[in-house]
Amino acid sequence: MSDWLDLELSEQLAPVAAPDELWKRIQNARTPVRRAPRVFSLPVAAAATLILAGALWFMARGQQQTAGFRPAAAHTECALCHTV
Amino acid sequence: MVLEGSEPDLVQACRRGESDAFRALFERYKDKVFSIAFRFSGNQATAMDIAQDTFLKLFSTIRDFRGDSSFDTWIYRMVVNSCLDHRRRTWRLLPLMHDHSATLRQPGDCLSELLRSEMSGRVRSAVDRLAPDLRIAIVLRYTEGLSYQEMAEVLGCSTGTVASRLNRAHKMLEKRLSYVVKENGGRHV
Repeated sequence: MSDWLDLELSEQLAPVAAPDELWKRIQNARTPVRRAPRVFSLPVAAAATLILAGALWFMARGQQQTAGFRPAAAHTECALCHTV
Repeated sequence: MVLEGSEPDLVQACRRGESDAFRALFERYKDKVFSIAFRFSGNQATAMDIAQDTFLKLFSTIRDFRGDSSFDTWIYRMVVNSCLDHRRRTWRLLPLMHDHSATLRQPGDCLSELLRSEMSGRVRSAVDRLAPDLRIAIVLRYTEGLSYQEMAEVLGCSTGTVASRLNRAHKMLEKRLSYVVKENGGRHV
């Protein structure tokens, strides 16, 4: 390899100082996402579960009630409506 | 005090999550990391991104450092990977941008400065056009002055491969820059 190339590369690729703002950028990037504390998240989760369970119970109850209504037998309907 | 502690102490303190230790480690390695990133990318903004990525990765994975290799080697590996990852992401866009910005930034105060700047720009451009594996070898050699053995550890290859990469890079650079030397009457500016 030529000496001039060695010299040029040593000069052109010499180390440089890092800018001061680099640490600020790293600090900003490291700031964790603010999360609700677990103490608060537990009651919220419990309340949500209760509401969901209640909603399901009401739906199931509604289905049971509608299942209780049985249409009149077909032949009875015919007797009532189609008697001349 | 952590800020003045030895490297193993600093690493241990970082593992415990001490913020002073992170700062001390950053202060110790910021120039090395930034220099490699800057000389590899040839662009300050990109170098900032690479250096930021490297330190964030370093801080989040410092618990994984087992001390099998030296801490220097570990951090060099990290910055090399960040450089190559960044290169993969941005592909061929940056060299074009660099060429234009370098042309626009040419200072025109006096002749010698202009010639110096011209040579500098051409060397920079020639290095930029090297394949990433050859370029990172050149950067580690000339920016950080690593030995072939150290480079082999950082790059995860044999010293023979390192020598071959450097040889190929030198030949390419010589070929690309020989006309500049001829233009200047065989002497370097």
